[in-house]
Amino acid sequence: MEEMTRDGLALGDRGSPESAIRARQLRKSYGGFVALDGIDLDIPRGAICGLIGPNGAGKTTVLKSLVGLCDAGGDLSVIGHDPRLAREALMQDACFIADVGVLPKSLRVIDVLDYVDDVHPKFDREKALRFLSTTDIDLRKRVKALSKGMVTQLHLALVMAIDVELLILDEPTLGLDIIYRQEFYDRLLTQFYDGRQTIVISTHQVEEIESLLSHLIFISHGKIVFSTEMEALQRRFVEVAVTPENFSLADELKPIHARSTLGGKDYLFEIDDDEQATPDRRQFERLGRVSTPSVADVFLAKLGGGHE
Amino acid sequence: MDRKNKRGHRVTFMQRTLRNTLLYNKHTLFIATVVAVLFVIAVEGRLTSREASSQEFENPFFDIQVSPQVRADIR
Amino acid sequence: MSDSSAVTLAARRWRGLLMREIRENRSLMLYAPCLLVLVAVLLGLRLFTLFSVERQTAAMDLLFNRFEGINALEIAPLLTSAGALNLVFIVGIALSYLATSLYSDRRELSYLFWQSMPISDRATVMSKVVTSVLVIPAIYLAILTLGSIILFISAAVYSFFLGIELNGLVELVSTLSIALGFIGLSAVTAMLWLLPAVGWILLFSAYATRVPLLWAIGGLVALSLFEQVVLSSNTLEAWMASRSSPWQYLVFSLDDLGARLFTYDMLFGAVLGGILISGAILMRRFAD
Repeated sequence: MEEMTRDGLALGDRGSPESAIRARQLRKSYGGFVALDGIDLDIPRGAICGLIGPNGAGKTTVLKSLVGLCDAGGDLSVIGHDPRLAREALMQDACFIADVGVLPKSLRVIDVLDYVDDVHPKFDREKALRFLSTTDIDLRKRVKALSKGMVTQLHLALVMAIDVELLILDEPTLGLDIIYRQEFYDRLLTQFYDGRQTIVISTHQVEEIESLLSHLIFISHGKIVFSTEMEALQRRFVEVAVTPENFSLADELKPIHARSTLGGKDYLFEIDDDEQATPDRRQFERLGRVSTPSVADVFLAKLGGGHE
Repeated sequence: MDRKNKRGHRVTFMQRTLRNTLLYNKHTLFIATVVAVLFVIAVEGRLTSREASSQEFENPFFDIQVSPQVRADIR
Repeated sequence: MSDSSAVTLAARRWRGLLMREIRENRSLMLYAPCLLVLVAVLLGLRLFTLFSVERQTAAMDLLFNRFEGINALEIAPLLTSAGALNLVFIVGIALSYLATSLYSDRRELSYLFWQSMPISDRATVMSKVVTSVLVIPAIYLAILTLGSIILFISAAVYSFFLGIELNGLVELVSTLSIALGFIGLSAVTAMLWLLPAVGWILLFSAYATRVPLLWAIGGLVALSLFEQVVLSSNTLEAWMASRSSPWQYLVFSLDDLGARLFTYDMLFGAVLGGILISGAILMRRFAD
């Protein structure tokens, strides 16, 4: 189960049949700007993988290249297809929701349903209609007359009615209010995901999806900074609330990050199971209250780089 | 299933060459397409050594309607 | 997968693709022809009312009785060429549709949705070609036919009140139908003849970051200017001129249709159109 690696290495070396996505040295540049700088990915089937990174880190470019919407260099296999050569076949089994409301604005809602019904052999029209009946969306309205939240709901309804193996979501809840955001992920988990599908979600608001992820990839400046399984993340990182008298003791244990709080500091430690040198969990308990850090904290520590 | 065929495909020499030249970016593709069309027009013009001119189709209808007299007047 | 279900799937996919084009371009494909036909009908009626009742009666008499015993096939070309202006409208609608067809989805970012469906770039671009060559002429013709029927019925009713006998009705209706049919065939022929223009505009529609039609026209002008100044020849200009006379498209009989479709020039135009359309298809991979 030791699938933790650093600095752009793979999430473990599973055999490729179980890999939904396998990428080696994915590269893409726009003019002089390098958007992807040699990305390696191994995302197993059934995973719910979060792609976390600041704005402009290359998240959208990664996701678009996974579904053949941008032409990246390198080796790439997505549920058995090369998206650059077989996008049509790939999209029979994969769906993509982009970070902006991208449904065609001049079409009516019912037109969009009709279109997907005609061109997608795995679309279940009744299922989409059932889903839409639980929303306020008027089927005869044009897409441009819908609110942003409704457009996202409509897109989710379309996607959930397609029996796919892979779902790629690029900041799907960007710009939505909290109610829509919660509902989006609730529905995704309860009405779509049944363990067979692979879901890749990118976001810069990781706290929102932290609880549903099984895998995590941090990306920055077109490179993978860190990737792990969520389970391993909890074993690997500890956060300790240290009071001022223990600061020096805590510093000796080589924290990867420290953050001032009211009346002390929160230290973040990384435990490497392989190395004898790293301290025992009990040592941390002597310093203060030990807790599991949030993904956002680990993200900041890994990206911000080291000691405050 | 077609999936097995698609997996482990090889990028052929041809595909690689295309990607590095004509399909390098949208501008190279655009220029290549326009040049190809102009080339075909030029070569065809040279081969058939014809003057580009309006296609004259025979329309018996016009012959009936427009008398030679009227035609001569127009000209 | 059995053959018949594969055919059904392909047919449904094409229905979806073509319906998408109609639904996305309702105003250009449906409302604009309706408006044009309506204006033509109203203009005709207005002109008609300018005449005295005697002259109106004479005209109606001509319309409903002169056709008696006449060979519809012989007289239909008269009506077909009278309707030649419709070809200009059809071609105009088709070309302005093509100019935005691969551009507007990039501008509003909906290409991310369209390309996330299991539809290849080739099928997408070919659906635009089929729409411009077949669907737009067909819709226009349907609306024109509807307008003609309305005009015809009102004329018949008016004639009835004027006390005119309707003797050549069968011949008149068949002449009208044949003329309308040949306007439709002429429109399709025109669009096929213009395949190089279809491809050229599609290429710019897929390439330009703004005002694709302007770039397409500007590009052509610039190229012929370049040829004139640098090579001091005017091949391109002459070649364009050779394809832009609307009289070339008018089809008056099925023999005419064959004579226009299966000519060397038509096929050569199709080859050039094919190169440009292939360019537009490949250009779709750079939609971002």
